[in-house]
Amino acid sequence: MIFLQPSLLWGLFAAGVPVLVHLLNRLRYRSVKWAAIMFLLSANRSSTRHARLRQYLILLLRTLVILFIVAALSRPLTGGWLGNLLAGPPDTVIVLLDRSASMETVDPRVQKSRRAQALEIFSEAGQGSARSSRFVFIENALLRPQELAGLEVLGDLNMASATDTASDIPAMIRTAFEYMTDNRTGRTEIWIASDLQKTNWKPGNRQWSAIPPLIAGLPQDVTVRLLAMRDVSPPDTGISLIRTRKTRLPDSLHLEVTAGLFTSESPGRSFPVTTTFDGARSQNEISIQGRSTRRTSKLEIPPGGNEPGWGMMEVPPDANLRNNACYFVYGAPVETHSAVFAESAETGALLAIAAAPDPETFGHSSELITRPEAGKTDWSKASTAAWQGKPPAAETADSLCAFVEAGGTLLLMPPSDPAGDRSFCGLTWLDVNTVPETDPFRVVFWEERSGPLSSTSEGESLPLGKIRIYRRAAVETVAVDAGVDETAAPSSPFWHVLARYSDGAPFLLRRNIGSGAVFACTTLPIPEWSDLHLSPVFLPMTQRIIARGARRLSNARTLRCGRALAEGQYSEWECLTNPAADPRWEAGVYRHGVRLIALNRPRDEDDPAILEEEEAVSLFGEVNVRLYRGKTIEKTRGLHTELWPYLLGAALLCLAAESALLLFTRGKHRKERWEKP
Amino acid sequence: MARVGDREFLDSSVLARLSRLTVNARIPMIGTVSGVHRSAHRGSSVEFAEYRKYVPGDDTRHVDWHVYARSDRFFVKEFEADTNLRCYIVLDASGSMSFGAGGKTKFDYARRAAATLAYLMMHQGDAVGLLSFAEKTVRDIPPRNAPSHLKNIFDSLAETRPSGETGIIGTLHDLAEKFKQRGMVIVFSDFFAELPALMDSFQHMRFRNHDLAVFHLLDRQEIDFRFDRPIRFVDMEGGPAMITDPSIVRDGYRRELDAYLAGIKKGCEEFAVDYHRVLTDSDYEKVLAEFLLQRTRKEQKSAG
Repeated sequence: MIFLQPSLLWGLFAAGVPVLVHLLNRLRYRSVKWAAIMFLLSANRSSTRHARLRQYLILLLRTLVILFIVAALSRPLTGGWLGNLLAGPPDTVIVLLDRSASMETVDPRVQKSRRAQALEIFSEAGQGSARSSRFVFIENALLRPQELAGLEVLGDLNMASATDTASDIPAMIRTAFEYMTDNRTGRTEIWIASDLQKTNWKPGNRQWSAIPPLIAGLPQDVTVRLLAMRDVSPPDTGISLIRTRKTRLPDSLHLEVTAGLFTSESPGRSFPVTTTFDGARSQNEISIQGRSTRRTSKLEIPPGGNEPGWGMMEVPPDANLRNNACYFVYGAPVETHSAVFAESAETGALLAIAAAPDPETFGHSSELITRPEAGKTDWSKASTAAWQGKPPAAETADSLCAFVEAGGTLLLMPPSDPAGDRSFCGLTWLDVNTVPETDPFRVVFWEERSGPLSSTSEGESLPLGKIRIYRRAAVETVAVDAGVDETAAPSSPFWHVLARYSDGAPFLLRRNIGSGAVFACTTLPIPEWSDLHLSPVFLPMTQRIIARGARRLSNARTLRCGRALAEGQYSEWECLTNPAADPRWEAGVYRHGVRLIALNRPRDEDDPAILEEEEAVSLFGEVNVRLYRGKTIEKTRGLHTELWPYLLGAALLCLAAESALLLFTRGKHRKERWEKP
Repeated sequence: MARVGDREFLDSSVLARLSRLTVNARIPMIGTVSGVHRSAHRGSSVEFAEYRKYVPGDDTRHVDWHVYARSDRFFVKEFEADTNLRCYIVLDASGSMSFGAGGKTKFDYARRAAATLAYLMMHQGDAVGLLSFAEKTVRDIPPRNAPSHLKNIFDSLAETRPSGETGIIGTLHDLAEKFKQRGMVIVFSDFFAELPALMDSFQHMRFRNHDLAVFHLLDRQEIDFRFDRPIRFVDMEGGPAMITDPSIVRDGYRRELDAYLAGIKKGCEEFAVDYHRVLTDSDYEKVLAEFLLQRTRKEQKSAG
């Protein structure tokens, strides 16, 4: 418990005044000559316990009145939103703010977005407690804990502003857990403001089974306060980009733009959709039967070469301005080429196929090279290189590194016999571990937000957990966990672990070098090692590595908001649709050099599915969770509860009790006098 | 108040009004002089009392010949003999008797009442004595019927100053032994003594066939006990002082006092003691008048 006016606590000494007065009264007696002393002596011997008790009780009540009044004047505060009376404010408050696009829905009653309301509540809750608690702010876009002097600055914080991103609540909670363990916080409260959108909370995510038990097992008390910002859901209509595709006709080139429209209003309504493309605007009425529909527009690309272009589609503004537009870009097509070196012919063949599964259709190509050829290969023409086996010779190694620095991607896979190998790119293959087929190695953790193992555009996770791995190579390197800091410098001496086995050993690692990246997989896609080649993981993983390497060859890209962080150098991006937009989390069309990038809101942000409050609470397992919704939020504002009203009430009660005791005593005496003969 | 002589404790108007009443004993007295009180002896008198069988030696003048004629037996007439009263007025002169508000103490009241009674009895021919006591006897004036005797009594009353502890129990026991002839004993005291021992002394007095009347004197303050602040109560009979908070002991004090008063009244009823509880703020003339009238009514009832 803390006091806002601690200096007034010196007044507690005044509680001794009734005792002093009582003692002085006993000393200030007068003498009376008395004849009937024998009765006094008898009475004094048996002098009623009740009378003495009543007197001491009155004295106690008078003392308590002074104590309560002085305590009230010193304005004590208790901890928490009507929290533990005696516990005081928490040592650390970690605020997790869901800044996803859906949180920008405006409540028509107060004309404020859910996010803005949450910030107000947090700001008010943290008032007056800057001296007693440490505040840490984590939001969904950067996932970087930021310490704040107080929560009143939240409203002005750029990192608390509106975004077009999606949230990953499990990842935010994991970040909070890591902060608590790294900083050894004391009693901690985690405040979460969210609209409980299911795609953000990801109830099926395996982190819900891992993180809450870890939090519950921490030595310090941890309480989660969950603000469910779902009180009001006004009518909302939005549009999102599904895909773009170039189609070539004999005389022209078209861009097919498929957009998805959704609405929470009554079915059958029509909405005007405004399309801006190549500087021209057009409008069409689209009727939505049901809750959603798709519309493909065919837009003619101006003739003239490989210059990139952009466009956008909009619906009228409504309760949520963040889902009323989508953006698209087009550029020259890129043909990817992958160079594959493999000591294992089988591995080489599989890698070559994975790199170019349908060369005719997709314009991909791949070639297998030998070790002697590797020294003469012009890697600059490839988008991706794959190297399976012992590290290359020095000259080849240098050219490969230069290739990566220029923006290419390199995939490393272990040799069959890695003993005594040299280090390459800071990684050394060690012994191969083998397990029985009945008890294979399993991958239990992988980075889903971005990278070669990220979830699909529909939000589905790649089934890495189902891959059976019988052999793997141990690695020696300086490795850190990926996913915590996507904004790492383009060149990093550290390998980031993108996936781990159940025993913590890495499955896939990445190291950023220059504009490119090196990936290392610790197993091989051949039956002796694993069934990776049979799983629906190998192909997308390979293609994504290739696609990353091909970026440097393309002049137009479409990304999800929040993924731009992985691109690095976003500070050089210029927004063509909104000059003030922040590319880290705001949608729009951006120019970076000669390239155009369309940043769009993640499509799963349009999914209206909401997690039930009880289900959200249950995800935290043994962790103490307090849920606040609707009107309870208004009543329970405040990090602390001021106790002075209760103390004054207690003082009044004591005064009333004292009066009752005194009146009882006098009434009894008055009655006795009437009864005397 | 009209003083009698220089006696401030005597009021002539009160004496004049009360002199119409007689101080009667409740039981037959044994006196040497003819008086207004019934005598325990049978003797020459105008009032026939009863018949008794003749025994050799009786005065033949008292033989009732009419009875002999009827019964052939010799019976002698017995007659009531009226005699005077011997009364001891016992006055408590212990320190507790000097308690009283406004300068009017219990002793003053007792002295006034005692002097008035002494005067009345002396003028109706009775012998009156005075025994004042504290821890021990202060002054003992045996009962006599002489005008100068009354002066001695009044002088004693005027000179006595209450102080010291009370020795009422021993005093009454001694008096019971000393006052051999049946008489009347009137005690003026606050009776602040152990109740059982006090009852024993009353019983002793009654065993001696004395007509015992007690005037239990109490001050109103002793009944009400109205104190608010802590008080240092000083024992007027020299005992140790006591500091206490009256609010704590008030209930217990009243309970003890009530029990004591009830006990003394019950004990007096049991031993046929004529008990009168008197608050010192009451009019002593009325108290004495009631006392005298009550006895006169009883006397008339027993004679009728």
